[in-house]
Amino acid sequence: MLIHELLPLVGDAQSVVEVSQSGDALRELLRAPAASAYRAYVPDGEKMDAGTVVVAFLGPKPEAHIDAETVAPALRELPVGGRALLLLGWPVPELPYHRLLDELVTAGLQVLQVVPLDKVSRHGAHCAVLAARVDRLAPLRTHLSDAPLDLAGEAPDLRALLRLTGEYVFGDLLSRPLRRNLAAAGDRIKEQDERIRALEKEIAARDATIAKAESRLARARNDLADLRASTTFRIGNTVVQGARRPTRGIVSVPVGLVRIWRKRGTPGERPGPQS
Amino acid sequence: MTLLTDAEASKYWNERHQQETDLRSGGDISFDEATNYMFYLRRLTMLMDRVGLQNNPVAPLYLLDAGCGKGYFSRELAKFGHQVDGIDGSEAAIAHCRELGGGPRYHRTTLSGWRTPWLYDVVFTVDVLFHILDDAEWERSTRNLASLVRLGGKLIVGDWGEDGDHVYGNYQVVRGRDRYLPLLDACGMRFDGWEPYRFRRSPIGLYTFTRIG
Repeated sequence: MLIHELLPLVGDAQSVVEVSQSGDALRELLRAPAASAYRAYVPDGEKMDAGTVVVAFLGPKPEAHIDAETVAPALRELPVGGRALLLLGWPVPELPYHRLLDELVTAGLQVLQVVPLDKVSRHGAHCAVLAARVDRLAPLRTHLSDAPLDLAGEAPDLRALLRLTGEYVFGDLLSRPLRRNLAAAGDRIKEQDERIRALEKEIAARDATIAKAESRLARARNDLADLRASTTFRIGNTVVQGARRPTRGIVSVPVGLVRIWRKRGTPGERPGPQS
Repeated sequence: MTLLTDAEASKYWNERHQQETDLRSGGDISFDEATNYMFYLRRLTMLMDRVGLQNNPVAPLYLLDAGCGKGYFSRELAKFGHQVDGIDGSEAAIAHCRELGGGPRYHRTTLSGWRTPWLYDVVFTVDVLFHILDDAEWERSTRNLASLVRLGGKLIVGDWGEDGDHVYGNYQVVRGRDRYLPLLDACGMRFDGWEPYRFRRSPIGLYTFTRIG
């Protein structure tokens, strides 16, 4: 649901009282109709009536959001029929609703619907609570319902309440192993993240060792090439080859020595890196 | 005319899903594929009206397509962002659904045999219950589908809107409102209305019930 679809959902709002003190930000986000009076909340100020909607933006950032305690006095001033539209700045899967629920129940408000919102990145509100001050149970609403609130409709009867409590009890039972599994999965992910970080460190250390070894190998290859290019090595090599094959050596040793003597003063041919 | 037995009906549907084209196999076999496409779209829009036009990827609606056949409605509703389970008794149809994928989760089961720890926001069964020929199995199926609807949720059933039963051929028994309304009232479901498909001369339409208790 889009954020500007929320106020029409609350029904006819003759006056909107904002507790957040956002300036015009919240009013613009909600696209409060011109016909409704929009004002900031003043404790024990102008009396609220059944056409009043209390709006606020609650969440984890003190610079942008208020907390449940701050909105509570305004909720307690709502008369029967008054409504509240509270935007929440926490992601739905992590919603810490317990403090807000305390204040809503204490103020005599029924939570009618919690609406997940679209385009969170634009406004930061993940969901919105629709609640109303009641003196009897208001009609139950369904998830993602976009029909305007109807507080005067038929209250849930005993059969509906039996069903509701039954669904709650079974749902509560089923949520327990899921919660446990979720926590276990979270722990496993944390452990795996730590293991991945340790392995990354190990790989980085091995990369450094390999780089040092490669550097030493390159230096050794250079030294070897310099040695092979030296006159001493070439003379020695010519003599050794001659000694191994004396028949050929009678010719090859003098020829080789002459070749070395002719090329004296010029750098010897260095073998390639793979030789 | 003698009606098919359960085993014969099951064989008939499995072979029909293997042999017929995608929409004709689970749709109206007297229409060609293109007409069936129109027919499916008509019923899809009627389902949309009942399921609602809101969705949310973080906290989606959960739907059950009971007798999903080759999965047209399941896939289309999953495209809207809903989480859909599709169930059907035909092995060939479920294999086809799984091959196409598209988001829904498919299970091979009868309508009366589906068991899950989770309730649904909407359970719909489009033109399936009148293919259950045995009355006792029809009642078990209808009761089971109703039991899967959460408080405030909807049960949508495709069948005819008159009173009384009527047999078409040897594999269709339509059942009327004098069967559905008392049965589902006893299950805690409120009758919201019946709307005909208004497609060619189809006598069938959608019943909508809401769980109130």
